[in-house]
Amino acid sequence: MKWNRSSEGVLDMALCDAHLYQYVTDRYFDRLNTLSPISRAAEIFRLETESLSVELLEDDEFFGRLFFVSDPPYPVRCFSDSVISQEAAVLINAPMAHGSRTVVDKAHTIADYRYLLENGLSAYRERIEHELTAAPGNEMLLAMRTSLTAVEALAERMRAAATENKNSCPRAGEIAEALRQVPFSPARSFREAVQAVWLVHFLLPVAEHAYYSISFGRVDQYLYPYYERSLAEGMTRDEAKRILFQLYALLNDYTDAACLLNIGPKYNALSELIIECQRELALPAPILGARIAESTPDSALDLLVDETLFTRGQPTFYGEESCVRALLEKGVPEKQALCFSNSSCMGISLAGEEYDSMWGCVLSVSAILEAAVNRGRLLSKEVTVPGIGEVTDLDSLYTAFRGAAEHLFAICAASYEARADLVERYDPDPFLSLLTEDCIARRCDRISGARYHNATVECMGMINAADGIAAIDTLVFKKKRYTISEMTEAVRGNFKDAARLRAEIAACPKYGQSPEGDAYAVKVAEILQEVIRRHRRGNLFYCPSLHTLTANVQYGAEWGAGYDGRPAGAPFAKNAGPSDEVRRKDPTSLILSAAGLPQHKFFGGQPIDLNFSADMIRNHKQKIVVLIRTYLKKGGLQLQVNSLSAKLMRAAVRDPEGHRDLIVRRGGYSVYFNDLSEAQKQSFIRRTEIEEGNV
Amino acid sequence: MTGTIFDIQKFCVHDGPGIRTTVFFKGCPLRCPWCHNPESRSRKRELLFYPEKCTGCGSCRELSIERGELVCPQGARILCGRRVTTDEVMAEVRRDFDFYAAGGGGVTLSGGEPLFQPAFARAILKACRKEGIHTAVETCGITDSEALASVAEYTDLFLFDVKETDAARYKAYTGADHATVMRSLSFLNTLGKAVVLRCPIIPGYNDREEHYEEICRIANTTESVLRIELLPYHALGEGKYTALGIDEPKIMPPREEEVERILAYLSARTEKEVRRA
Repeated sequence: MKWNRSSEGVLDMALCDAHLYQYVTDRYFDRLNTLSPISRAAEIFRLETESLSVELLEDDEFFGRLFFVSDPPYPVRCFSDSVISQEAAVLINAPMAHGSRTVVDKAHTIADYRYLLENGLSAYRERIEHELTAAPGNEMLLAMRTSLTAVEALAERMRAAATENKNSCPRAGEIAEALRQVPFSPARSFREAVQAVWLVHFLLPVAEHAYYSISFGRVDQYLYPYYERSLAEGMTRDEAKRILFQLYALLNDYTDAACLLNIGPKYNALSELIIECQRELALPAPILGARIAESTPDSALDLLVDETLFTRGQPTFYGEESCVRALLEKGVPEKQALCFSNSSCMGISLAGEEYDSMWGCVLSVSAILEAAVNRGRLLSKEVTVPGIGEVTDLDSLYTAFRGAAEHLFAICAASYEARADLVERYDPDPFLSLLTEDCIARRCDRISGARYHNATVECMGMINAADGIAAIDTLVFKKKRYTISEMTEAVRGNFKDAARLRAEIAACPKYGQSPEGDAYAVKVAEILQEVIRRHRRGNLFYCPSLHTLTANVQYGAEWGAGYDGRPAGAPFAKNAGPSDEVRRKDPTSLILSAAGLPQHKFFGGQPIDLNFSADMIRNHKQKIVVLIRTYLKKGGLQLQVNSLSAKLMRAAVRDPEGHRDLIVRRGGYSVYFNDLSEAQKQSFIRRTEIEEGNV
Repeated sequence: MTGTIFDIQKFCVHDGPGIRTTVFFKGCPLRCPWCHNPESRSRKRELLFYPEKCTGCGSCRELSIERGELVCPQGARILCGRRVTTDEVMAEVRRDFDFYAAGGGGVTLSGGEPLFQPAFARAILKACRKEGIHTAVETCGITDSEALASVAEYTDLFLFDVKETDAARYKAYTGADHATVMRSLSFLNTLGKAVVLRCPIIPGYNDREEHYEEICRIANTTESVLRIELLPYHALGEGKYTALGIDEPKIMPPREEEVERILAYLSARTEKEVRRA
């Protein structure tokens, strides 16, 4: 059982996936249905770990093969206490009426692997037991205890299997010895450290019932002491490389490639080994998140700006100082902020302290603009935002925009919080909770127990809306060539009889094209981040973001034309890049425009995408380094790369079999081009053509 | 000071060291049959029309009459060439200052032929020098020493075209006098200006060993020459010929193996660095 492909062409987990959960809940339904949600969650986790098969293969360097032999279909069972009231259903679905969406986006987590390796899972057990002395019978603490016992039993089965396989696997003895130590006691060697990390990493999606985007954090930092120690004790670099190779093979077998390995900004011998593995294996997973500080030497960038890596959309570059500044802006104390880890597609996270709902909300900024321009009414949806007056100038337009944003985001926030409440009540996760501060101390689930519960808010269509405001300001307020009503009717009709107006909109200032166009985007960004962040309460942080993945295609397909000239159904702008209405884009202009946005206030993540030809990477590497450093120094959080040509992708469309190895950057992670939907493929091709100046 | 340009391109990596912004001057004294910027030849504004992009919307007719400038939402009709002031050019150019500073880049004047508008070229170069921006000028050398001296005062690097070394062929291909080219190069050498020889490889025109040997002789005997850069012909500009309503050149780009051979041939005959642009 290898790849499962959904209708979207997204790769699902293979070694372990939703089938395991469905099997367990179906087979043990009657018993599970009698339990409370917390106890049930622990019991499901225990049954899932028991149902896993374990197998040591001949070439294994550590015990990695945990899997479930499934025989679907398994019916999806609903427990009788998992009832959503009519009132709650209305609340949680309300954003859809205006084109926004909310979800409690599970997974997207990083355990505190440094703590795990230094202390073992026993340290968590001790803390749970300590809390139980003060609160005996606390259901969450007991569930946490049960979860750890399940992990212990699984590790013991793995150790026994390794012992039985001593003849077939040369390293079985070492592996069995390692499993005697980890994950419950501190790691003593590189092999033990990787074993412990892998086991916990594997179990996190099992516990969350969400099989994607679980990251490793600062691998080259927390694994380095064990690497050094093992080298001193006789391990060779090649042995370490074999261990990492196995880790990479496992990740590509089972993940959707949104798992991130963080390296830097101080690059050591292990960082270099990881980069070497990434180059040699040239697989989609994991994402290599390369942190670049001003002090990072050029030698590190020389390794990272590499044709093999770039053709696979690797690495993602993160600005060290910019990310710290973003966390400080969020309200994280400096000492913690300096220890951040990058996570999944765009996270700036604190390992072991956060619950990251990375797509917690998609906010339709197009809806906000339509309401602002049209006295609260949307053009194609039966929604009216109250209290929005007529706009007569740019100031009143921004005021109306802010009012519409406040109203529509309040609906989203209420929806998200209702969802989160339901998840905490009916879908708790004792295993992830025990690994997340401060859940043990608070004796509660990760939703309200995590120090930081982040709901990322993707501001979908923000750039298009800003360009729309620029067009209105230019053509209505300044030049008085059209009225608001005329522009609105043209937009409503998809510019069918308004080619002339559309031509004039095309000539208006746009983000990514000029400082004048950028100014509108900066203003809109400031308004949105203020409105969004004001809803923070308790441990819940709403994190503004301009990270779209390729959802800009999907959301654009569902929305009508825009005041920026975007035709109905066309993609919205991708990430923090300009819209497709901007005909020519060069990297320096893109960088200057994106760096002008208040990125530190969009601490939910804000990448730009740069595509480089093979010639550029081979012959002008230093110039690419200059681009990267300059962008990050100017406050850029994140920079994603590709090395593609439109010609290559068109060839792949015609001949998929002949291009099976073509990997592209899909939003925050790399994926095989053949696995994209047709609309996503065409969007990639079009954007590349624009960058190449062929449109 | 004003002048006529047809483009300002950012992130140019083949027009000098580092990341550069290239200002393309309109107007050129030559008529090279292999030119990949045919819209640069005339100093006048010109219309390019791409019929495959035209949707027949008619916007160009109404808006252009009203506004006195060409508007086409599809980019099917493009009016090439605009009058700009030095300040307007510098406003655009200085935006990328951080990129120049970080990587030894700067501004390059190209075209067309920048020395066809020497006063304008000098004004831009002077303004760049004042702001600490590295300057380069790409020239065919068809100019007089007075213009060259006025521009050279503020130029850090010359990208000097060596299109053809045989005088008769040079005249036949370009319409200009090769002796003028050599006088200009000699003049730059006496000024001690850094020069990169830019040598297009045009199959059927200058792909001869005598020509390559002469390039090497020039490089070896001209102290100012830092290196030789080869520019293999490419057909990317051919669509512009059609858009201008003139015949496309019928030139096949050189094969990769041939370019490698020429690189090796030149490298064996000069101590100066030889590379692709």
